[in-house]
Amino acid sequence: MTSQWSWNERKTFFWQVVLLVTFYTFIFGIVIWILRLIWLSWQLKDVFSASIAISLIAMPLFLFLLGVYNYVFWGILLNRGKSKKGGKD
Amino acid sequence: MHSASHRLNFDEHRTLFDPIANPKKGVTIAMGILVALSAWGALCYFLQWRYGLGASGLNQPVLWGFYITNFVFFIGISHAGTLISAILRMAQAEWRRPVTRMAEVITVAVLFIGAANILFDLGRPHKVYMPLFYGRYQSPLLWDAMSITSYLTASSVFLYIPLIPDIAILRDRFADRKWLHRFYQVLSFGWNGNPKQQKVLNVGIAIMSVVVIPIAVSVHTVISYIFSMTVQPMWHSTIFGPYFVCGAIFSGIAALIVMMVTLRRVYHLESYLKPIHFNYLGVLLLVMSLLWFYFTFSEYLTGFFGHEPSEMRVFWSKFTGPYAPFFWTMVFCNFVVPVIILSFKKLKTITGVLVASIAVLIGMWLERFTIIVPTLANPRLPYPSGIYFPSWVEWGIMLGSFSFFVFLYLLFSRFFPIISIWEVHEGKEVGVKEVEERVKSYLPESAANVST
Repeated sequence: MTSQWSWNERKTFFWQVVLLVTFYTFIFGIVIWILRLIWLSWQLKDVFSASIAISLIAMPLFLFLLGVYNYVFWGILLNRGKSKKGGKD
Repeated sequence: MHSASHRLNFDEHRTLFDPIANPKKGVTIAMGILVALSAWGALCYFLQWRYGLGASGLNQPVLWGFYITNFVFFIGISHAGTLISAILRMAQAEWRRPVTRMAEVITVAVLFIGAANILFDLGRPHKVYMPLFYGRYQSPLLWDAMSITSYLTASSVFLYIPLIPDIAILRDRFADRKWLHRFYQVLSFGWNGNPKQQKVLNVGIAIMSVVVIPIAVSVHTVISYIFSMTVQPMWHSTIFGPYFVCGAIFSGIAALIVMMVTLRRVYHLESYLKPIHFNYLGVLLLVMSLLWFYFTFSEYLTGFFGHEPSEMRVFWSKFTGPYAPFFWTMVFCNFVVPVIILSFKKLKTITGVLVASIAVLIGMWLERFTIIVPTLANPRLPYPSGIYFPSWVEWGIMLGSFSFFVFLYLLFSRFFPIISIWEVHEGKEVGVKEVEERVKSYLPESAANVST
């Protein structure tokens, strides 16, 4: 964050980061949940291989969606350029 | 004014801003009624929470009734959106531009309600946390939870990314409304439409269009696994996956058409949603109707040919037994009505397509019902057969579910344009030229060009 930013722009950026962090929390929450169930199936000797098979599809998919969201979020935010007033849009 | 909208004439698209700038009184009243009906559904659920599933008509052997029917139905119509929108985007169908947003919103709204119906089916959900901590990953029910969550996540991202330029337009349009402006400012990520941002957006949309199609197909396939992984009569079928996906797309198109006709009338979108859009969607609906009939015919023919006693009990309960009125109404609504209306040019008007779509929605709900209930009422194991009558609590929750879906849809239209403004604008500015060049590239080069 640069010192050129006005208070209003900082507030906007804060809420945008809150959105991103919420999405991160959601995705990593699911990944942790999946890992927890795999660990449980390992502990209980409950068809561990089946749990691994499903999670091999589910986890990369969620992380990929997070990647796309990140790409768009930062891609748009960092390429916004300067507005006529000298600050950021 | 930001550069996101400097080429856009706000007045040209006034109709699209009106639902946000000047909400209609009628829509507000309708939303109030929908909230009241949703509250009625919530009250019914509260009663079920208090007294358990005894408040519903669910009992041995029929433990899945309205709730699971609604669950499968709602997840089915969610295919409207993302799948149709993604396919039309990938096929570069230019007529998609005013349609995609409406379809994508359906997906996100109904997925929430579809998933909620699973909770309703639990009755008193005091053990709902159990799958979270002690779930077994080899259970199709957990596959289902996973696939719906992934679909909801993907659909939300797929709805949001193409919405960003429109949010920026709204940010500029409502610069004089402090809170609304701030709200759009946060959500627009500083979009101003420069080439670098446009490139990022296009890449994001293209990636999501590709990713969302297999996710959507897998979701309804996994939902069919809940049934087909069991050995219950008329459920244990290998074609259930594609059969369910076909039905989902079929009902999805119907739901999209109903929404389009309704909003076209309510918000006066006649200049955006033209008869040609309904004509094209009508053709898609007709194709899906024929495909649905093919799958249904195959499914019942193979069951009948095998003549296994437990299968035949279910078969006859649908064809001539207590579930015959539902079964034949389903065939009438899903096949007879759409094929007659959509095959004849004279009947294929906007009203005709709407009638066919409403019939398909009724028919597809009945299809889900006749798949679930007759099988459970006639179990394979030697339990007594049963009959299912939904209680008023189930009717109330169902009414609440449908009302809440429409409410969510109208709520979205109060804050965001229901037709993609920037995509329509882009279509006018560059789409026509692009299509001309694309068509030229398909055609053989002229003799003069080849010789040189």
